[in-house]
Amino acid sequence: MIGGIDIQVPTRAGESSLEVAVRAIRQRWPLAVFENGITGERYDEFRQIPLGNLEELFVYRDGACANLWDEEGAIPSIYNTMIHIIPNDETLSLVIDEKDAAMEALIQAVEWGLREEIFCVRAEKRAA
Amino acid sequence: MSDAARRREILGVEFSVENTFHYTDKDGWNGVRSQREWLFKASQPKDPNRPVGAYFTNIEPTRQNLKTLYKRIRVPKAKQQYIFWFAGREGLVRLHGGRGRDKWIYVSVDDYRVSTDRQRRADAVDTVMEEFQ
Repeated sequence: MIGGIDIQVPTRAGESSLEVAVRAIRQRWPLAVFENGITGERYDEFRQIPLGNLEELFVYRDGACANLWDEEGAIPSIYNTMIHIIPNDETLSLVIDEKDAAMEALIQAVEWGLREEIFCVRAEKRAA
Repeated sequence: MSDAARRREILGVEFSVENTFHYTDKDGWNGVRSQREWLFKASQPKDPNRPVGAYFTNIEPTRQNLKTLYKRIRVPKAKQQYIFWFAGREGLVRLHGGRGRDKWIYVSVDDYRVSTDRQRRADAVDTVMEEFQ
C-alpha cells in the first residue's frame, strides 16, 4: 500500500527549510511546478507558494509531469519526476521513487543547501 | 442533521474511535473481502528502510484528501479505488518517530487480522466518501 523511498535530511535552516529545498530543486528543474500535498492546490510559479503555511508540498519537474501524476499516480514511466517534501522540526522528509544518479545529485544539492549556515542568517537593515 | 450524519447514526458508526483505512485496487479488495475476518498480508515495501508489513493510514476518504492521497502514499491512482475501513489500531505502530509520512502511516509487522466487530466498510471509495462529507 505504500510506495516511494523516504529520505530524512537534517536541516539547520529552521522555518526556511522548505524554501531552501525548493530553491535547490529549481536549480535542476527550472520548469518546476508545485502542489499543496494536503489540498491539491496547484502553484505554477515559485512566488505563488505559501511557504510558511505548508505541511506537505509536491514539486514536479514540469507541468506535463504534474498532469501525468494527476491522471495516473506513481507509474514507472514518470518515476522521479515529483519530489514530495514534508518539513519536520529538525529534518526535512523527501520522498522519491527510486535512487538513481540524477536523483542522488538532486538530493545532495538539497542536503548541501540545508547544511549551509548562510541560509540560517537573518538579513537585517542597518541604521544609516 | 445532515444526510451523512443520519446515515452514520443508522449504521451505528461511532466516530469517536480511531478510524483506520486501507486503500487498494479491485484485485486487492476482492482478495481481502472474500474472507469473513479480513486478513491483510504483510509484504516488503519498495523502500528497504521500511519493514515487511501490512500498511494502513488514518487519512479519511474525503473529496479533498482523495485529490492527493495516491501521490502521498505514492501508488498508482488505481490503488485508491477501493477501501477497507475499520475501527481501532490495536497492534499497529508508527515508524520513525512519526516524522514525515509516518505521521499518518500505521504498520503491522505481521499479517494483520480485523475481526468482524471492528469492520466498518469495504467498498468502492466513491461510495464510502459520502460518509465523510
